[in-house]
Amino acid sequence: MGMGSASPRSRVHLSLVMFILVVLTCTVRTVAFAGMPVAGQPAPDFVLPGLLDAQTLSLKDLKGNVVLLNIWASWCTSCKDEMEDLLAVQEQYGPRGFSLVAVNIDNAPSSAVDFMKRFENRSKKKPGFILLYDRDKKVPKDYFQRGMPTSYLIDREGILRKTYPGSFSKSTLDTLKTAIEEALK
Amino acid sequence: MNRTVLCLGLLCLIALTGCAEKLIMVQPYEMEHFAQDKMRFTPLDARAAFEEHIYSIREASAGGSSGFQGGCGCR
Amino acid sequence: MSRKVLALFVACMLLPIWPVFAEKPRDGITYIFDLYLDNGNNRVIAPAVSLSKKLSDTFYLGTKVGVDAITSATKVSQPASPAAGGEDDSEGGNISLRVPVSLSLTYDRDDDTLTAGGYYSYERTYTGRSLFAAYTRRMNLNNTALGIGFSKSFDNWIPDHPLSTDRRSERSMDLTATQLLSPKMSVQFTYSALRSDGFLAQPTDQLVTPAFTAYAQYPDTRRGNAYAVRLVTLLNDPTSLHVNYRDYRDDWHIRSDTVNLELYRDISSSVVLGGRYRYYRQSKAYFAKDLALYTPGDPLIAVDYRMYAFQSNTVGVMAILKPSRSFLRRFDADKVKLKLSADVFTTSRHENIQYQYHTDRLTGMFTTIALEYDL
Repeated sequence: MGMGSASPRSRVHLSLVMFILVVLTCTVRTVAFAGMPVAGQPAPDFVLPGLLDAQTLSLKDLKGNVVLLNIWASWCTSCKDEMEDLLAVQEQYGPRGFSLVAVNIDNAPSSAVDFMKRFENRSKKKPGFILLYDRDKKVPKDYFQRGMPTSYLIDREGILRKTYPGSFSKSTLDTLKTAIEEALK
Repeated sequence: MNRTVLCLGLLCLIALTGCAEKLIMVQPYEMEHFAQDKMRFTPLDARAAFEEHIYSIREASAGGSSGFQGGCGCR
Repeated sequence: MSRKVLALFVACMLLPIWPVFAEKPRDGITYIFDLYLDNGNNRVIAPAVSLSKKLSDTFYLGTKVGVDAITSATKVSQPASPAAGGEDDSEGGNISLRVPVSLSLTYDRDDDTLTAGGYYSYERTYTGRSLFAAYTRRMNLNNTALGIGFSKSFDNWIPDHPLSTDRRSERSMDLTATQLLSPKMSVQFTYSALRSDGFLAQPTDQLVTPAFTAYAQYPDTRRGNAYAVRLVTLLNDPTSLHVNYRDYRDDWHIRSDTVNLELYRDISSSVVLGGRYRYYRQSKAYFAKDLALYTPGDPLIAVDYRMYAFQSNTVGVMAILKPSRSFLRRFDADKVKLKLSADVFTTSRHENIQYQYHTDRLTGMFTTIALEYDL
């Protein structure tokens, strides 16, 4: 049974070179999409029902508040992990005109509702933030969401201040708090 | 063989260079299914490791498996 | 006599043991209990604990410690020609322990994951040591992932008779490309290059004929290549299908095809059941020939059926259980998973299997139980 004309060693070297080339090629950063909301421009509005009740809410309704829009899902472990930190942020800044709006994008809301109930039981208090449900994933589409989860800081005038792709770590949480303080001034 | 691998590789490279954006076929918010165990490449890690050992002592082949398991990419 | 058979559980080639994470690595502990039985009177009971610990935002430590309790009947030496009398040295029931330990450090930041580590195992007839490193880069919003892994082992036989060399080393390189094709389908391509050097036969394999007796001897290097493709697709909301194919070939002229099909289905929110079928076939090594045809002058001798053409079939069932809160109050239901599997495989008939194990085909069963808990 023949092994082909290339020696195994040259095939390994060739594969290695190809791999490095492909990595370098794919590392080229992708450009921004047309219509993608950018810092300094108005954040796209939305009208959504609550996750736990049918009461609808729009971004416009929150004008005058500093808003942290957090897009999450119950299937996203990092999203669930950062929920406790976000609740603490809400408790810290809520009295000063800050609203955390957590938009769930599960295909079906039941597991998100289950998670929130367990979260309430564990933290032994009602989450003091706004929970909305986006069945059609309109918010992530309008915001061109580039990672799960992603949070958007929106100021009192409804202007997008900053985008935070991925879950918060200790250091990015400090950056967020500084940005909230600034927006609340 | 050498030439075939090279040609295939170059084709892939051209495709990736010109179409990196086209390789985004699933948006981050559409990855719900990939978060499920049954959509991972090896849903049962322990079985994958053990059976690889079993087959390596019962058959004369190896390789072709990968540690990368897919997932929802939630980070 | 037990020394003869324990090397059975020495892996042929390096196993991929590096973890690569699609999500952030997590603090977690997994308790594993593996069991293997076959009609060649081999039994392995293998409990293990695997632990992953976050050291900082970017560094993670992983470790796995296990014990394999191997019970194995001694292989039988008998003449290749049934007409001649031979020695039957079977004993059966020898128990030995093998202790595998692995340790790895993972760096994970943004789109890059780098893991490096080592593996050590000890058993009475074999010492295994290996180092491994793997790098994965995710790109295109996690739609594409490219990975590269290297491993090298520095193993030693502890034989009961002189070998041409006690050393056995293996090197492998794996290249992987993963691509999402739709919200319900992903594909993965893997290329593996494998190289082994040293004493590559089982030191215990012995050919006994009326005319002469000889130990198995293989070439002292082996180079292999494997190409694999895996496709995972969601057939409908509760059902996923996995299709894997692997083509393997090496410079001993062994060539094999492996096809694996798996189907998983959500039975409820806390139970996933699955079934699998795997087919394997291989051709023979160029130096393998009918046992009766070997002569004392043959430099290379194969006794092991794995150097000959044969097929095998495997069927199995799997279950993934996520306990509900009412079932397991003490633990957070989100953090616990129980994964179970049971598989039965059988090879085609082969005279070398008859020679080695006194049965015309090998049939075995392996089961795994893994309890995963996020810390």
